[in-house]
Amino acid sequence: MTTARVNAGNSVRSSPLDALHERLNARWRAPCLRWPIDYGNPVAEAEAARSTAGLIDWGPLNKLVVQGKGTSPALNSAQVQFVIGKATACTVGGAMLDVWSDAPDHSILLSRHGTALPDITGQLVSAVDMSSAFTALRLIGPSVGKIFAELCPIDLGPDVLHDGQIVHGPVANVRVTFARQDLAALPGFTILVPRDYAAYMWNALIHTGDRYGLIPVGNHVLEER
Amino acid sequence: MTDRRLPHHPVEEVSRDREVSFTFDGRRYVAFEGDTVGSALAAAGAKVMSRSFKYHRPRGLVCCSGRCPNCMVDVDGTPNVRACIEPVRDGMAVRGQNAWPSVRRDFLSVFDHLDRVLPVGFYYKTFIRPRFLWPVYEHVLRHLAGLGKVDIGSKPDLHQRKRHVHCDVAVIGGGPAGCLAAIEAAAAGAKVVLIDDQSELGGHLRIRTAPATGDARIAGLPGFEAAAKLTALVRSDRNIEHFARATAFGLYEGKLIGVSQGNAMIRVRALQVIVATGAEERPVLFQDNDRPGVMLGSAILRLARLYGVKAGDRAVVVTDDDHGWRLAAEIIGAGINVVAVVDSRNSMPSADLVQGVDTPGAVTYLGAHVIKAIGRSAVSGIQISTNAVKRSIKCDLIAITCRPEPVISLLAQEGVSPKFDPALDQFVPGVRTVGIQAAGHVEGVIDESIVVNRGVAAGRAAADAALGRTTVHLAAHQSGLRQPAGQQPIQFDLPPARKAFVCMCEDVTVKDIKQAIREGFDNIETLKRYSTVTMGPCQGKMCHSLSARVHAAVAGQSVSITGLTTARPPFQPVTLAALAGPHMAPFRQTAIHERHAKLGPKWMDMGEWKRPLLYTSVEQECKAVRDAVGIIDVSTLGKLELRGAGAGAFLDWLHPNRFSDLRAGRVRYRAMCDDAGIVLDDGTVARLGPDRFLLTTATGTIEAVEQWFTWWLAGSGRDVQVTNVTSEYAAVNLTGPLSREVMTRLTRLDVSAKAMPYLSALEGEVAGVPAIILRLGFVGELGYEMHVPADYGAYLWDAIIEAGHDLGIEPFGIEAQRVLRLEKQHLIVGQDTDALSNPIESGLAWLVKADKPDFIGRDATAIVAARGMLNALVGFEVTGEGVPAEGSAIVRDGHAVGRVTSCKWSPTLKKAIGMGWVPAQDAVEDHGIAIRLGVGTHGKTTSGKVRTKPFYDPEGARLRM
Ligand code: FES
Ligand code: FES
Repeated sequence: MTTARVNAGNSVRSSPLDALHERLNARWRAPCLRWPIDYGNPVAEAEAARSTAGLIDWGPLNKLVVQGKGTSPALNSAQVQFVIGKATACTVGGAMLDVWSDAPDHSILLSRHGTALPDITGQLVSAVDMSSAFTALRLIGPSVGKIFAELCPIDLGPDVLHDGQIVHGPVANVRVTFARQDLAALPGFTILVPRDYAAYMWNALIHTGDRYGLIPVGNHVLEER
Repeated sequence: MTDRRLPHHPVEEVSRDREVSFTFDGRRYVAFEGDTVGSALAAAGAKVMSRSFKYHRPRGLVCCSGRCPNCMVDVDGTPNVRACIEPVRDGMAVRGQNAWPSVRRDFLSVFDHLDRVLPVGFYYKTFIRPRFLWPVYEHVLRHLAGLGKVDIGSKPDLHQRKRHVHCDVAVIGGGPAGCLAAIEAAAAGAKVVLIDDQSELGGHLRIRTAPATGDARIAGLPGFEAAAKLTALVRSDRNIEHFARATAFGLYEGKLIGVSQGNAMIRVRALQVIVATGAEERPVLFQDNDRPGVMLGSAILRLARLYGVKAGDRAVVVTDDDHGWRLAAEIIGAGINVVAVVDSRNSMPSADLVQGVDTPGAVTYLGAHVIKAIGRSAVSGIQISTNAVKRSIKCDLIAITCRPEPVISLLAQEGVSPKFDPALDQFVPGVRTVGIQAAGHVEGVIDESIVVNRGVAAGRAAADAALGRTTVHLAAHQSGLRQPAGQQPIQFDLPPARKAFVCMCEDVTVKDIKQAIREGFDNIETLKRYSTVTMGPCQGKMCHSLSARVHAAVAGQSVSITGLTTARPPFQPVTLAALAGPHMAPFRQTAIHERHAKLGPKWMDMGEWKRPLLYTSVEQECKAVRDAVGIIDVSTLGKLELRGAGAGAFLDWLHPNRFSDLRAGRVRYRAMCDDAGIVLDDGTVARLGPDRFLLTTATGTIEAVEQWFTWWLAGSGRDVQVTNVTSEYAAVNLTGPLSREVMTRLTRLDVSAKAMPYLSALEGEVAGVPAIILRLGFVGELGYEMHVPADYGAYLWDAIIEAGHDLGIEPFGIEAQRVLRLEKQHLIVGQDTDALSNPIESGLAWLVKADKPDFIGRDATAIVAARGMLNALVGFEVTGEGVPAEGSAIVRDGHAVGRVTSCKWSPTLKKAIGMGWVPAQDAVEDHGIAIRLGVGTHGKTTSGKVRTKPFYDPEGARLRM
């Protein structure tokens, strides 16, 4: 067996929108973590999120899908706080987690890359690492409601869907999980879209959002606040 | 061009100081900004705007509100545009349609004299024989019939938009009842959407000077001022969103309203819906009742008030109701000379109504009926009969102002069945569906103050219901309140005319209906289908109730027994582009997509997936796999991860073979059947731990398989969790005799034949990326299928290509993969099998473990086993000429006995090989078969020989290397 040139250890993790970001001159979070920190004009990007709308390829995130009848007890014993039907934030072992508890027997845990996901074990429960399976797209800004009104048949008005609430439904004809996640006072939505649809979804959002001033913005917008 | 213009009126929509020009059938017209094509043509004295569907009769403006078929024209290449509501634009080219050479002079109007040979339903009876002439008939008919021509070369409108709107209360109709309903609902705290097809609100009030009555906010104001007041109230209300020039074309289950507005398609979902679509004048039956110049009274007024256009110089008003007298007074007030009022009733209406039409020269005829319109291409007079005396009156305009009928189609679409009210002699909305209210004229209410109050009450009731304050439904209005004192039932007599049109869209006459009923189509629904009455572009707006009345009169029964035909969306035409919306067809890309794109492959769509079909050539790609090493992106395979103590037993239950005894680190082929023993899907199962399995499915079947698993799991109490990990893993198949060499350059794992034999599974790092590695051999070579987190997919691909570069690694696409697997006779479920294929006849009998206690499809499989095979899926090689297309028939004595499911040219074997279904007795090695070569070969056949063993490496030594 030849083992002379084993290529290991320099792995590059990239977003499914890698090529698209590259064309937009993204500055990467790190050479081995190809998620855009910005697209060269962070000030204009922040302004778009404040005044019209910004689209963010949020990441990298690690994601754990926890499911089964034993979901709630298992989360409890791992000291993960959750509210069924909502996306909430909590800290477990010093790591910040977003917990999307979309049903009593189904939750998605999101953590920033490098932050360990908690160990979830128990009876009648499974925890599967799905870090690559979903792309998290965030839309932030005053115009996001209008963009969603063109793409989603579900009533997402602020009086119907409150901050943090989770919905399953079609956006641009793709079934996704999404939550209202405002950023400070700015209205916002986060979509968890199967990664294979990410390029399609990104284009559909930009195409529709163009007339409402939607532009791609980097992850720095989320971190600035 | 201004000779038919009237003096300026405050509600006028045209700007007389701004001119625009357009052409109609090549002739130039000048209009004012704000004109519609119809008003501009009418102002220029043009009466004929279109030709009728069957007889090519001249047709002109009738309703001026987009409700009839009579003004349909082609505007800049878009057919069937209603001229009367289409705003003029500078430079627009308008063409008449369904006429040759033009609508003014249409030679095809010869059909108007051929009605005796073109009776109702003629197309079911004629042009049938001789059969061989049908293509000729069809060609001619296609050119003569139809409505406009679609320019198939035109570019699709890519600016269509879709919008979803949610509200507490949706109000359809912007007349006084609709406006007040919206205002009241908003005042009660509801979020309201108001949909109206006109540019301004107010409905009939807009074009009226007589004072409004009822609600204090508008009572006493001249109609048009009341309309303006309502508009101001709606616009200043932040709780109301008003969609102007928007047509509610459908009211669907769940209180979903389809609305088209310009190039936008809006879906309004409301908790409560108020339908306030008003009422429209009913057309009257008489000979040549379709002549240009026969118009609804409201249309004449609309033309006069909104566009300042005089529809005629001498008008005769035809009525059966007080409404006609009021309208006649308004028409006179608008500056049009009324020479006669023809009322079918025998007594004079009240003095104030009579006073309104008291102008010099206007004669009233009571107990009078219209016999015919005089004139060929436009009205030049009218013949009436009073007390059996015929009388002709010179006129160029006949104003039909009969009692308006409720516009109930939208209500009927959502289950509010129409019922005939004998007191009113009209169809009115029947029992309401929960959450759907009707308000105003649409209820059959005639008294205007009641109309307005009903709007107010409906608005309040809807808001209360939507906001959960009450569940009480607004009761339907009582019939007694609808009919003002002195109202007489309408006389309805069938005219003996030869061409009295019931349905102008479809050129259906009273005579046609009589004939159809004589032929046995005596139910209104069958009559509709046979005669096509109510099936034209206006969707029955002009003929729905009229056809029921005619049917009832001919059949000698009451109108309530006849009933109305079923109302279906769309209520108003809507373009397919608007329904389809912007181009949003989802597609899926693998994590390695961009790497493929750089190589410029030929792509293929597999469901929503984009996959490389071919990078270079089938020969080159196959050769790389057979002689060196190839790599294919198989990320599109469906993947499920099963966890839990019951996972193995659950897999046993779902499959004919066994998985509970599969050792960890081993892989097994799977094929799944339904209850009828039909093969649904296949793939592999790898056991990754005691309670952990990774299962793969074919591309595109994962959703169905996941659903199948979830269905059988629901309520079973099994300790199994199923996770769809299709998107989580990117997957590649590295295969070929040198694939192991490449692997050893990428991983420290022992991937030798001993440590990792065929059908084993291993987890570890490849190129530093966590991977699940399966030793499989779909293409018949030593191979490693690697599944890695998709975020690393592109990186892994690069690493493999780099590691295999000097070994001659080549990416290969689907086409090469299909050839290679065919050489191994590996079937593809869905291609080589169909909805009747069972595992036994598909060559998978070895998979069925009859000793298992139970599994899905067990009984059905047992029956097939007991019965014996009728057909068999076999391999074959073509010994004759050609490569038969997939689907080609396998024939014996000229009869099809089987079919080809796959067939390709094998560059390795240098011959065409395939798989196909043959009778079971033919499924023996070397059996000769004849295969029809397919379309365009005039029944030519080629020969082949059955091959029961793989063509390539039948012992499987290469994949076990
Ligand atoms: S006159 Fe235009 S649709 Fe009736
Ligand atoms: S008049 Fe339009 S369908 Fe009959």
